[in-house]
Amino acid sequence: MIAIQNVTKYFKKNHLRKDETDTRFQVLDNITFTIQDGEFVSFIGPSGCGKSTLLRMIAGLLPADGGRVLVDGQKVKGPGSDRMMVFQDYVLFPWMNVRKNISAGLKIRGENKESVDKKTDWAIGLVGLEGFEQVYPHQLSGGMKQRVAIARAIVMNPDILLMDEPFGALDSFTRINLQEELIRLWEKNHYTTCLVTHDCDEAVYLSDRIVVFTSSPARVQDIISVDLPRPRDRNRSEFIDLRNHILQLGRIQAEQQERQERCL
Amino acid sequence: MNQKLVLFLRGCFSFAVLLAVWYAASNTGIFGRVDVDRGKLLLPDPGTMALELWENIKTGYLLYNIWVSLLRVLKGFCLAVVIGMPIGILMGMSETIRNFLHPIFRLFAPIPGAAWVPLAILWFGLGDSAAVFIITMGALSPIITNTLQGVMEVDEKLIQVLRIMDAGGWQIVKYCIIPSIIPYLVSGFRLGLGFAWRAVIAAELVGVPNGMGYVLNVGRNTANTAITLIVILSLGVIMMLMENLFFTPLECFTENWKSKE
Ligand SMILES: Nc1ncnc2c1ncn2[C@@H]1O[C@H](COP(=O)(O)OP(=O)(O)O)[C@@H](O)[C@H]1O
Ligand SMILES: [Mg+2]
Repeated sequence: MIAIQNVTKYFKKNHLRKDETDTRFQVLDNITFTIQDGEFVSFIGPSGCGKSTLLRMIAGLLPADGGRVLVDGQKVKGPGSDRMMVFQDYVLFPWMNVRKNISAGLKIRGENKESVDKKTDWAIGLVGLEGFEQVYPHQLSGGMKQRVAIARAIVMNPDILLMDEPFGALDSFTRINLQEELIRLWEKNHYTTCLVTHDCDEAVYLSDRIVVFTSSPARVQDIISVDLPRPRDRNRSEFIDLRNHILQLGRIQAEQQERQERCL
Repeated sequence: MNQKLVLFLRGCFSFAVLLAVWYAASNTGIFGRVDVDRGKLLLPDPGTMALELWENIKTGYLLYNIWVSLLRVLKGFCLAVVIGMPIGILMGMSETIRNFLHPIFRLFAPIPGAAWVPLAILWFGLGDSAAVFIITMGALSPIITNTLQGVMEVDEKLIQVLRIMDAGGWQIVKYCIIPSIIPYLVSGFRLGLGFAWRAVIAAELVGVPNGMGYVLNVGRNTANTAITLIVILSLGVIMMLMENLFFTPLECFTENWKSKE
């Protein structure tokens, strides 16, 4: 279980105006919610509101300024391979071929060669990268790169999968393919999954629950349960209604944000 | 026609023209500027040079002195790499170390290797140690600078990925820092090696009693222009060989994965 309790975060301002005395701005304001084991939760909200920041805190890459993040009752103190992360821009090792990218974590963990080979084969098979083992990342399309990144995460057999807009840079056909594959993977292994997205369709298609954030600073605006059976049909009226509801929430947010920016 | 052949023929043409101009200059008293005899002394023609080269290869004199200098450069350069690379990596990875070493480095980096010659002779006497010391001092700063720059430009997110995988400091160096700084190391080594050769020639010109710089001086003192020119050309040939045997393969290696966007 992931428990986010009264989490607050400030960052230093990049550009200070002369009359400003406060050198920091608030990104997250008193965020509280919990994620159950095996649950698939999406974070949605205006861009720049702090979704990635929250995700990085769960990963242990960033400390909270107030409140705390608990994983299975333990305070998160730093990163660990029980919480693997997938980034929008893949972040693969350019000097390693596909196979080495995927097996790097296992080697770092000090597993023996036999176990490394077995698990790597398993992950490669799961994301459909057979035949691409010797290829280097720059030779792959975006969708294939993201497959490598996902394989690199699941090969470590994490409890928690953190994904920061993983399909945001992909064309819509590839995106839908990968969404379907991700949900199949999740159904097989039931990773507790947090996925940041700005795509309402993606959120409704994948998630058990959707956390909607307000912006500057981010607060939890709403948490929406998606009680639709899987595999979900994007054309079902409940699906469309839910998507439109979230879209509406987001539009109100975006409008407010624009108005604020115009006032500045 | 085959491209390699074209390149080869083009090279031959360049050298043929150079040799022709050289021959003419030598036999016309530098195109009539000095007496013909004096011209031959100042700039021996290619034939004389070839004979002199053959003489010196036969006696082993030339190769011995090239070997002496080469060994010094390799020793000094390797020492500079062994000292400079870890310093650059540590400076890049730790802000504390960087803040501490940077002022010192700023002061010492711009000092030309040759400036250390008198001090080195004072400390180590006229011999190998002095030369190696000077070479190390000359090659150190470009190696540190380039290593540091490479580490500073390592993709922060790759390190985050490794930290998520529970990698320790040494594993981060091995899996991420070293591979991503290779292109920077290549340019650092290239500069460093250039500085190393300058330093060794300076040291040998000034007092170290053997090596290529020493032979350059002997040529001047005995009015044997040919041997001086031969040593100068040998330097060019050695640098070219090092480029082709060492740096080009290293660069090809990184081409393997470098994104070609
Ligand atoms: N390391 C940092 N230092 C300063 N400001 C940051 C840092 N990381 C993010 N920010 C700022 O915090 C805000 C939230 O960023 P982020 O969490 O990336 O938003 P989101 O993922 O929701 O688009 C943005 O205004 C961003 O510019
Ligand atoms: Mg983000």
